[in-house]
Amino acid sequence: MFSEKIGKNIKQLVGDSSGIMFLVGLFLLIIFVVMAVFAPYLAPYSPIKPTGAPLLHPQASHLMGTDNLGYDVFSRVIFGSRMAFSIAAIATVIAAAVGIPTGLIVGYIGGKLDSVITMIMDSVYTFPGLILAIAIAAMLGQGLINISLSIAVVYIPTYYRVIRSQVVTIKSELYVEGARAIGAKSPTILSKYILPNVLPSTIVVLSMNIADAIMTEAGLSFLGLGIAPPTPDWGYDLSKGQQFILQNDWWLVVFPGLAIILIVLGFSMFSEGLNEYLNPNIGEKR
Amino acid sequence: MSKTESVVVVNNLKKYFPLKIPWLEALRKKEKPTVKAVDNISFDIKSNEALGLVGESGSGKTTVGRSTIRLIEPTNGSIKIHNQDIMSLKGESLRRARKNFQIIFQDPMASLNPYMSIGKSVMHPLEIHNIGSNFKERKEMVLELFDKVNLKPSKEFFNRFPRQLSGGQRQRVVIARAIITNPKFIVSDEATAMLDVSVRSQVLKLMLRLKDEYKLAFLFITHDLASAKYICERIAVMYLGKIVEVASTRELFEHPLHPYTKILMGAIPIPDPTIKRNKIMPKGEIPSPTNMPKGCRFRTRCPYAKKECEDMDMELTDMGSNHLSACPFIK
Repeated sequence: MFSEKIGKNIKQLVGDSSGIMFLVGLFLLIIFVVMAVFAPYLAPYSPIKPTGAPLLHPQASHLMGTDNLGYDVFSRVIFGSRMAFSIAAIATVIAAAVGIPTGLIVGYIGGKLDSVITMIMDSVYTFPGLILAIAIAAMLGQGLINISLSIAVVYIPTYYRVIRSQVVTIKSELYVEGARAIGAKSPTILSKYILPNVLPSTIVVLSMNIADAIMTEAGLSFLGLGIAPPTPDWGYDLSKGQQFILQNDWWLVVFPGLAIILIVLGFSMFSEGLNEYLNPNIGEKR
Repeated sequence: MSKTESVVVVNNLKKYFPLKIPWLEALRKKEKPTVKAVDNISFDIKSNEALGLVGESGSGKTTVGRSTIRLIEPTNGSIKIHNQDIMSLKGESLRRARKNFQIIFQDPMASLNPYMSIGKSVMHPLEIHNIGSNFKERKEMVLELFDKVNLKPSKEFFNRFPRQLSGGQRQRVVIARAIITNPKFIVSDEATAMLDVSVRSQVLKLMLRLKDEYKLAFLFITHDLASAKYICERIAVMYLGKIVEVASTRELFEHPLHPYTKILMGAIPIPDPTIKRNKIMPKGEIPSPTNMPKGCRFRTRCPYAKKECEDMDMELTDMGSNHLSACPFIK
C-alpha cells in the first residue's frame, strides 16, 4: 500500500521539508543496512581479534584506531550494526506480535476486559523504559533473545495503546456497522475492515520503536546487561571506551557513539517523514 | 390488510436506552431511568411496497430502522421478515438470515471501507453467504449489478477505491452492496439526505426501479417529505418514539388527521408566493425524551390539546380506509 504511494510521488517527496527529512533518514538507514549485511566484506579486520598495538590513534591502517586490547574500532563499529539491528528487529517483532493482536481484540470486544487489560498496559507504560528493561534483563540474564525480550516488554504497551485507541474509533465507523449488516463474522470484520485501517499508523510506530529499541539496547549493553563480550556491540564499546576518556583516547567513545546517534536519527527522520506521508488527513490534501 | 402477504411485520417494537446515572443513585432508585427512543411501534410492509417513516430529528426513526434488522438489539417486540422470526435468531443463524434484509446508510462517504476496492466491497456479501461458486462467477454478478446501478464502465469501477468516487457514485455502490444478496427487505436510513439535489433524484429513481425489479419491501426513513412522497406508497409519521399516523401517501398529503402531521404538512414550502395559508405552528420545544409528558406525547405542543389528552394512550386507531391516527379527537 505505502510503497505504491511512495513510488508514485518521489518528485513530490523531494519538494517539501518532510520529504527531504524522509529521504535523509532513508539514506542513513540504507548505509547502516549495507554495513550490517556486508560487514565481513567491509571490515578490514576481524572484530574479535587483536589486530595491532593497543590504543592506536586513528590512522591509515586503523581508520578509527584500536582499543585497549588492540581490536580495530572501525571493524567493531561495522559489525556492531549487526547486533543493533538484530536485537532491535527481534524486540520490535515480539512487541508488535503481542501488542497489535491484543490491541485489536481487546479494543473490539471492549467492556470490562478492555478496562482490565488497559490498566495493566498503562501501568507497564508508566515505568521508565530503560529501568524496566534493566529489571527484566537482570532477571533473564545475558544473551540475544533475553535482551530482545526485555526490550520487547517495554514496547508492547506502545503498540497496544496505539492500536486499541484506533480500533475503538474505527469500530463505530459506518463501514464496520455495514460489515455487520451484511453478516460478516467478527474475525472477518477485524481482519478485513479494521486491521487495514489501523495498519498505516502501526508502520510509523514500528519505525519509531526500532530507533528507541536500539537506544535501549545500547543502554543495557553499556550497563553490562547486554551481549557477552567480545561480541561487537556499540553500547559495550562505549562503556569500555569511557574508562579511557581521561587519557584523551577520544576515538574509543566518539565512533560507537556516533554510530548510535546516526542510526537513531535515521530511524526517527524516516518515521517522522513516513508519518507525514501516511497520515490520511495530510494525504487527502495532496 | 392481511398479514400473510406482508414481507415485514413488526409488532410492539421497543427500544429503551438506559441512562447513565451515578451508582449511588442507581442503588436507591428501583426503576432505572431510560430514554424511550422507540416505544411500542407496529408496522408492516408488503413486497414491492415502500413505507416512509418521517419525523423530525430525535424522533427515533433511525433507531426503528436499525432495531428492525437487529443492528441494535431491540428491548422488546416481535419482528418477522419473510416469515422468519428475527427476534428468536441468535449468533450464526442471525448472521445467515442477514442476506434477506439489508440497510443503506445515510453517509455514503463513511459506509465503505476505504481500504477495500468497491468491487470487493460489493462482492463480500456473496462470499459471506456463499452465493456463487468461485471468484469469476461472483465478479460477473458484481459487474452485472454495477451496470444496473449505472456504474459504467463496470469493469473500470470494479478496481476503484471509495476515495476515487463521488458521493452519488458511492451511494450507488452502497445500494449495489445492499441488493446483491437478493434481499426481501431494505432499510434506507436517510439514504439521500447527504446527496446534492441533482444527484438525489437520480438515486431516488434508482431505488424506485430496483424496488420494482426485486419486489422489495422498503422502509424509507427520511425527514424530507418530498422524497417520501416520491417513493413511498404509505407513510408513517413518528413523534418522540411513537407512530402518530399511518396512511397511504396520497391520503396523508390530502387529509392529514393528526395535529402533528398537519403541522408537518404546513411546513412544506409551496412554490407560489401568492398563496397564503393559515399555518398551525407547534408551541414550544420538543420535550426531553428522558422526561416525557404523560398521556399524549404531543399534547404539550399541540394547538388542539385538551384536558383528556393527559390520560389517553397514543393508540393507533383506524379512521377508515386504512388511515390510522393516534389522535381520537380529530376525525
